[in-house]
Amino acid sequence: MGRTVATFRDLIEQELQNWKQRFGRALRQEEQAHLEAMFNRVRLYVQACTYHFPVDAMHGIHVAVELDHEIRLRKIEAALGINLETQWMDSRPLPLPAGDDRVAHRAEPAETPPAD
Amino acid sequence: MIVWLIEPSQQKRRRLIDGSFRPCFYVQGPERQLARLAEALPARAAVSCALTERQNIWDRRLLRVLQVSAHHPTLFAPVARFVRRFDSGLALYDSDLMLATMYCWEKNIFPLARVEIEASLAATDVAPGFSPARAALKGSATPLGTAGLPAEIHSITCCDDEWLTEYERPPVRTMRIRLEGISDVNPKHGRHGAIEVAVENDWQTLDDSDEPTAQVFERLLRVHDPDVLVTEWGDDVLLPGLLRQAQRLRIRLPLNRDALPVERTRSRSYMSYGRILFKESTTILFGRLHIDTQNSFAADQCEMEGLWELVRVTKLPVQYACRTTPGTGISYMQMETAWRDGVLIPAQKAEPESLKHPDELLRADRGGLVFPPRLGFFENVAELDFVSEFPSIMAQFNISPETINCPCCPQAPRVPELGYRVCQRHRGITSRVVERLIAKRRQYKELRDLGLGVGDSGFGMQGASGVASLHFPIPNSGFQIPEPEPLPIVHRPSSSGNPAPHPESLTPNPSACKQRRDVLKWLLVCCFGYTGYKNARFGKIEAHEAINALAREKLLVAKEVAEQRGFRVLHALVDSIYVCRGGSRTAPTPLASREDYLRLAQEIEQITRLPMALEAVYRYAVFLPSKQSAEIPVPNRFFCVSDEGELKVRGLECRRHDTPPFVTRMQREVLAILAEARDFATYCDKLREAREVYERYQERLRDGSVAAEELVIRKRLTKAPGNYQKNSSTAIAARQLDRAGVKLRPGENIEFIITDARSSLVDDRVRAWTLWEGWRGYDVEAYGKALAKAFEPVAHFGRQ
Repeated sequence: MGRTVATFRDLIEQELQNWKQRFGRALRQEEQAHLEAMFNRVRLYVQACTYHFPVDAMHGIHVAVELDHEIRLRKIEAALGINLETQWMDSRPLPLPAGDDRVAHRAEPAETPPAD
Repeated sequence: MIVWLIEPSQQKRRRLIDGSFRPCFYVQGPERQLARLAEALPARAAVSCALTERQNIWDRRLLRVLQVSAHHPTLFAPVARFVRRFDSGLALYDSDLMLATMYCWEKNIFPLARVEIEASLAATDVAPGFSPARAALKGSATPLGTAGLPAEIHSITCCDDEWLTEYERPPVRTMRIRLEGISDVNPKHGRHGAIEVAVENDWQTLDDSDEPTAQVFERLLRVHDPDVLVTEWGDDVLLPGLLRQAQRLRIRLPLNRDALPVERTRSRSYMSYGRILFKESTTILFGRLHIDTQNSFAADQCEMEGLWELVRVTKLPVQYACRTTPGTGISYMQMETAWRDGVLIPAQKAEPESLKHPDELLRADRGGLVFPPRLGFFENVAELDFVSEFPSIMAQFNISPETINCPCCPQAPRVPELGYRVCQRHRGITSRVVERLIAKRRQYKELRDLGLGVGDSGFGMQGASGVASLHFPIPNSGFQIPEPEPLPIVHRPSSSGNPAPHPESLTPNPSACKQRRDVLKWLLVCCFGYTGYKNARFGKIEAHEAINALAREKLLVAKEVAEQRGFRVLHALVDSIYVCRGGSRTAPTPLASREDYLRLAQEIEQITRLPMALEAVYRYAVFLPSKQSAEIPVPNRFFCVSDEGELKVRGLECRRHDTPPFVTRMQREVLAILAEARDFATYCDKLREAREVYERYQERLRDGSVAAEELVIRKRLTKAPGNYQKNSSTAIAARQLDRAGVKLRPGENIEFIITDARSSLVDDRVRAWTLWEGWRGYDVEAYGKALAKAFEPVAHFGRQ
C-alpha cells in the first residue's frame, strides 16, 4: 500500500510466524493452537499498539497479552464471585502442596483430568 | 484555442477561435545559460522570452527565471521539449500543464460556464439576431486543436462563478448509446448484442438487418446533432466499431463537429494501492463531448450532475475530467492557486522525503486509528462522524506541503507526536483549496436538507470552511494559524461578474445535491491522499503524516470525551466513533436519547475544533467477528439499522463486487426484513421470517429456476491468463477466454459461472460467462454454499 513501515496487524502476524517456527514446533500439539489464539487476541488491542508503536513489536505484544490476561482474570473473578486479591492479603500460609497436586489448596479430584 | 459555445437564444452551436492565448512556461538556471536560451529560442520558433521573477513554493524565495511565451498553443509542448534538450541542467516550470485548463485560468472562465464574448464573425456565419458585440453565449467545453478561422474572439468574460451552488445546467442535447445485455460485461470478451441508441430516453435498437448500423447511426447523429454522447463501452468498443464500419461502407461518420480525426489513446494496466487496475483506451471527440460511463470514475460514481460539478470546480476539460481520477482534479486546483500566487509549478515532483531517524519513521509512518469493535448485538447506538475530517484538519491547522517545517517559522508550535512545525505566517495552498471545497460541500448539504424538509440539525461547525474558526487557539497543540488571505481566487469584473439572482428552478434537487456533494467528497479524499503521493507535484509526505497524527489525536480526544460522559465506545474508525449508553443489564443506566448524542457531538466539536455530526442513531448495530476466528473482531464487518429504518452495511457479501447478484439479492432481502426489527427480541422473531426467505432461495437454486445472469461472478485479473500457476476459478475462466481469442490484460474484470466446482476436469469447473451455454447448467452445491455463507452473518448473534 505504498507504506514504508508495516502496520501493527502485519507485525503481529510476522511475529506469530516467527514464534511458530521454532518455539511452536517444540510445543505439544494441544498447546500449539493456544499460541496462535494468544497472538490473535493481541488484535483486540491493536489500536493501542499502533498508537504507542514500540520499536520492538514484541514489547507491545507482551503488554497486550498481559493486559488481556488481566482483563479476563477480572472477568472470571466477577463471574465466580470471588476476589483473588483478598486471598493474597490473607496472612495465613497457603497449604503446602502434597505430591503432584495441581491445585494446592483444593482437595484432589477423584480422577485427575487429562492435561489440556 | 478553439472554443465551442452554445448560444442560449437560438440554441445554436458556435465554434470560435481565440488567437490571443499565448501560454508561457518558465526556465530557471544560470543566468548565462538563460541568456543563451533567450537568444536561441526566438530564432527557432514564434516565441518571446523575457527575464522575470517568480516565487519558489518551498522557501518562498523569488527566483529569476526566463519566461517563454509561445505565440501559438501548438508550439508550447515542442518548445518545452527543445529547452529540455538544449540544456538538461535547466529547471522547467509550468511546462507540462494542460493548455485548455491554462486558457481557463488566464481568461477566468471554466468549462460549461456562462460567458459573454465579443467576437468578429466570418461573413458567411453571421446569424440573424446574433450581434457580434457582447452577445451572451453559454460556453461549453474548450477542446484543443487548430482549424480554419470562422470567427475570432476579441474578449471573453465570465458571467458565472464556479463556486455557486445554484447554477443552470448546461443546455446540452444528449444521446445515449449502449449494447443490449448486461452492461458490466465487456463486449470485447465475446458479448454480442445490438446497439441501442436513445435521445430523450426514447430507446431504439439498431441492428444490421435492414441497413448497416453505422448508416442508421450517422443519420441519427445528423438529425439530432447531440452535444454529449453518453455511452457504455464507447471508448474501446462502440465508437471505434462504428467508425470501422463507416469506413468500410465509405460513409463519413460525423462523430467530431470539427474536421479533425477522432483522437484515440491506448489502454494500459497500472498498479494503485497494491492492486492492478486496467484503463481502457479512450475515444475523444472535438466539438462534442463523449462520456463513457464504463471508463469514467466521476460519471460512474456521481453521474452527470457530479461530472458537471467536477468540471466546474477543477476547470479540466470535460472529456479529460471524466476519464481521470479526482486526484488530477485536485492537483489542478492547487496548481491554479499557485499559478495565481505567482508560484512556480515544477514539472516533476522535486521534493524528496526529509531524512529521519528510524524511530521517527516508525512514529511518523502511521495511518488513522482503528478501534476494533466490541462484538455482538447492540441497541441504541449512535455514530458520530468528523465531517470531512482530513480536509478539515488541512484547512483548520493550515497543513499544506509548503507550510510543514517551513523555514520562516522556527518557533512555530509542533504537531503532536511528530514535532513538525506548521507555518504561522502564510496560508497554505492546499488549505485554501480545501476550505472552499468544504464550504461548498456544506452548502449542498444545507440545500439538500432544505429540499428534503430536514430542519437545521444544529451541527456542522459554523464556518466549517475553516475561515471563521481559525482564530481559536487549538488545545494541546497551541497552534496559531495565520489570518487567511482573501478567499476569491478569481476576480470577476464587477459589471458582468455579479451573477444575476437565480430563480428557484436553479436550486438543485436533493439527489443532484447528493451527486455534487459526492464528487466534492472524492476531491477532498484525494486531496489528503495526494499529499503522500510520490508523483504529486504538491506532495510532501510530512504533510500527510502530520494530518494522520492530528487525526489520531482528535479521535482519541473524542473517545475520551465520550467515555467521560458515560458513553461506551463500541467501535472507532479513523474519523467516526460508534457509541452507546444505557440498556446494560449489569449497570442499568437510562438509554441515551438523540439529544444526548447531539450534545456529545457538539461537545466533541467544541473541544477538537473539528466539525462533528451525528451521522445516525441506530436502533441496533451488529458487529461481526472475523471469518477466520469467531472471537476476533474486524473493523469493517457490521450492519446497523437507523431509527428511520435505513440500513448501513459494511463488509458483508452484498457489498462485494465478486458476489453473484443472486446471493446479493438474498442477503439484501434478508437484511430488509431484519431492518424492521426494533430490538433483540424482535430481531430474533424477524430472523425466523428471514430464514424462510433464505430457504426459498436455496429451493430455487435446487430446482434450477435461477437465471444464469443472476449467478455471474465477476473478478479482477491480477495477471495475464498464462501466468496463473494454480487452477483458481479466475484462472480457468481467463484461460478459456484467452483460448477463444479474447486479449485479456491484468486489471481487467472477467465474469464466469461455476458449473461444477468438484469436476476432475479442470476446464469444466467454471465457464466464462460469454462462452457459457445453457446445457452446462450451474453448480447447485457451490452456489448453495455461497448463499449459506451470506446468511451466516445475520444469524450469527441471533437466537432462534
